[in-house]
Amino acid sequence: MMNDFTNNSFEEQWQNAFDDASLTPSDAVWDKIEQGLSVDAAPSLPQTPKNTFPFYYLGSALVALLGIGYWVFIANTSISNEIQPILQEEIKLEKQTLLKSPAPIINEKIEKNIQPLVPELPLKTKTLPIELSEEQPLEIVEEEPLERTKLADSIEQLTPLSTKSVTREWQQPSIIAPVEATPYYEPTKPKPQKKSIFKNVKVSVGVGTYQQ
Amino acid sequence: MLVVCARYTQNKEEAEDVLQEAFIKIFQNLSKFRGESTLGAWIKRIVINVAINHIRAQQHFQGMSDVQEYENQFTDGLTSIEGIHFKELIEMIRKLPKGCQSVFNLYAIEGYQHKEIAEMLNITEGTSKSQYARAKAILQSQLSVNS
Repeated sequence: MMNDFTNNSFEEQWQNAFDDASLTPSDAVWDKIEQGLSVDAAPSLPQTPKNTFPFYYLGSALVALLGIGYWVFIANTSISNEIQPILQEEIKLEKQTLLKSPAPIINEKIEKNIQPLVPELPLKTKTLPIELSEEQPLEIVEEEPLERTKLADSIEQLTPLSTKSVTREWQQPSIIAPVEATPYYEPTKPKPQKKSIFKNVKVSVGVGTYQQ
Repeated sequence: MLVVCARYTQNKEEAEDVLQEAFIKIFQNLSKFRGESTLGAWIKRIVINVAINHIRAQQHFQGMSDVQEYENQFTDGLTSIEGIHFKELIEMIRKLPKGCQSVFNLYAIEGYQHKEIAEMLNITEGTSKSQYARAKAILQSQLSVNS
């Protein structure tokens, strides 16, 4: 307990000793503080991202809105302008058909009342008359033998019914020399024969006697 | 506040540098003061933090370790500091080893607990305790010599 008391007293003494203590800093300290604050504040001034931030988004949003507006008001109206005359024409035609159609007779059947409306639709399709001929018996037509020169061009004309055999003249192809066959062919040059050393040496053999 | 700075530093110039840095931070963060404590306590806390960061930058806390031989020394006899001018006391604190100086200031004068000091200085609680005991022993020996 004594130690605790003395410890507390020791620390309290130190705390009390500095309670009313004060030192005055030099004027240079305050000048430096002012400089430090102005230096720290200066670079923060040009940092104005908030000013530039909305312009990018506003610009892009405006372009997007213009695009959507064009698509909705101009592109769609051009399509409707194309369709409108067709629709009006159809309406006219329907009116005409209704006017031309005979008055419905109540006593007649309902099917007859509906019938005139259907064929009078202005369909622009033309019906071509199809003449149906009676079935004719197939005849085997013998084809005339074509010349060999014409045959080459008229292979498609041959039918499986053609029974005649075609004679072809076969010519043995002439053997073409390799020089003519390949333009870049170079015939092997004959190797130069080595001349013997004793080519110019003439040897004469004779029998004689030597006389002094 | 210059007295606080003087207790954590070695000379007047260093103390004024710490004060300058601390006041720049105070003015910059004045809008963050929420009134949870008094303005004086808030300013003092910033000054102490700046002083500790200043000492940490000089790596004075790295070599600190437990010093067992100073524990419970000079605790039996109370050495009074009454009548000693605070400037003399500051000079006595400045003569302490640099690690001990901060621990002594934080525990004895500022009133922090050893656990808090350990977190602030990034040391163990045991180191804080032993360093404080060492500081206290040195100071009491100085006081006994002076008396």
